[in-house]
Amino acid sequence: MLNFISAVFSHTLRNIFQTWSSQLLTVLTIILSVLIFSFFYLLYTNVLHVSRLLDNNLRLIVYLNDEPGKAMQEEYRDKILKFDTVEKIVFVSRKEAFKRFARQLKENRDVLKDMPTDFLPPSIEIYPVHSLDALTRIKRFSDYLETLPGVLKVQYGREWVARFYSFVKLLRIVVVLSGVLLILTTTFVVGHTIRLTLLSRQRELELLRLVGASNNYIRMPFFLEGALQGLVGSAGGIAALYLLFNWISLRFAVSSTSFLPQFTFFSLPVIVAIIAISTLLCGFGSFSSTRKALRL
Amino acid sequence: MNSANNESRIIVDLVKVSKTYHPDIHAVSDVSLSVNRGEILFLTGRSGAGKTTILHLLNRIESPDKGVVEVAGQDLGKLSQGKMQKLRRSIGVAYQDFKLLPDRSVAQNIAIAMEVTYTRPSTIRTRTKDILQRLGLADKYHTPTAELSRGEQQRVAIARAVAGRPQLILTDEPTGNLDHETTTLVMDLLSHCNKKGATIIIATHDESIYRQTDHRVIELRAGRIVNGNPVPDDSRRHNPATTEETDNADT
Repeated sequence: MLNFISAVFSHTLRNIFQTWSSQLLTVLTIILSVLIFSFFYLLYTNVLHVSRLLDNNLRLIVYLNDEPGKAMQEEYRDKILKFDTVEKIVFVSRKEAFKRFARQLKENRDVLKDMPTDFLPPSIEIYPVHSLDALTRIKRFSDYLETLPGVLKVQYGREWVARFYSFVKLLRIVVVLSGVLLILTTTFVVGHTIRLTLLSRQRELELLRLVGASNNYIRMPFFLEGALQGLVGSAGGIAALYLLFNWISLRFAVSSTSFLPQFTFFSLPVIVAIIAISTLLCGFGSFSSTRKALRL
Repeated sequence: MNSANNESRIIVDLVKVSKTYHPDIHAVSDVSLSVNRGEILFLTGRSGAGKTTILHLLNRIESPDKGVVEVAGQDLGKLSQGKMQKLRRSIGVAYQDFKLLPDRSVAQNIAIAMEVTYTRPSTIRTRTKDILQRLGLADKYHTPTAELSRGEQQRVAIARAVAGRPQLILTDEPTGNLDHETTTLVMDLLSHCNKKGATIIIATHDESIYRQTDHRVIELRAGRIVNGNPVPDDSRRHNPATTEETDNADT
């Protein structure tokens, strides 16, 4: 077993040194693909993060014609929960609304001195569950709430939510497309490079068959070669993204745009997953290409 | 019991084998031939007599159009790819085109035959040095084979054929490019391998290497055996027990 491993490794290293120029091109292609995919994926995860932050402050305010009694409040609660699970439902009476308004006015609260304490409409504040889905479902939720009896108006950042939803949708498509690009690159480009290598080493393969080399003996070095390309390429892609991320973070830090949320880089498990998947994809891309080319 | 012994004694068995190349070249016609374990057999004849084709058939580089080819008791026509690969690891071949890798050193070319059997690198180095010493190529250990003369390349091909200590060695014109002195070195090496238990089939038209031999000589002409006994007589048989012992001692 040890001899098999040492033979396979020495073959792999020999192959790499002999065809280093095409290996370099393949690795650069993988770096680029991983960079493109991970860039969009990082953007996507950060947008999700931002959406979660915004989501904490997101609520639907349902203004009512009349102040609901205990029974009516229960009825509203049932109808709301029937449509969707929510984080919290708060009933705000006319008096509570007045108090809040006065608090918001702070030192200018005097302007309310001659006003009746029940001039503001009662309302229900609905806090959706903290998730992007809640955010995207909010329009349908709002439409439903407007159909409830006694509802005067439903208020939320309608336009903003719609735009954000479209953006997230677009980003999701871009992430999927760049993921597909990554898969195509790793399997096709690596497979193609390995096929070229096979063609250039036809003589050696012929000799290996003549001396009785097993299929695994012939194919394992190619698998390792592909996997190594994937490992180096994906690690390089992630490293390039990290540099880019740091550069962008530094730029934003200089312009001190404090209203922007804190962007975060991938966690270690995500980095490991991207590298592992790329490595396996490249390995199997070359393995299957060898299988086809050698008709093993 | 006797018949079973006979079968295990025979390492190569061709039964009514024919091979025709396109369009109508009868390379081998209806040839039946048996070789005992531990035997040295000379296949002689002019160019085109069918010697190379027989060697190719014995390693399944070519398949017969008719007949059965058996090596070590296994019908090559029925062997799976995996089993054929395993069998090939016990057959050393040195064909006329040498099949050397020109960009690799002499040692690397020889090592290939042992690497596929996962021999330890230290053993590979020792064996390679020993064989090169026997063939007078000790100073060429690191030389790329592209820089060698035809005769030297031929000796490297023979070195690779015997390096893995195979049970069967097939050599095609092993002395074709060699002078008298190096021919002796090559024949001594093959004889040494034979003493260690290997069966050797030498296809040659170099009369000097088989003229005074005790070993069986078979002459081919136009794909048919025209001279020599296609069946071995028992006096030429190498003792299988001795062969086995020697093999084990070597590995």
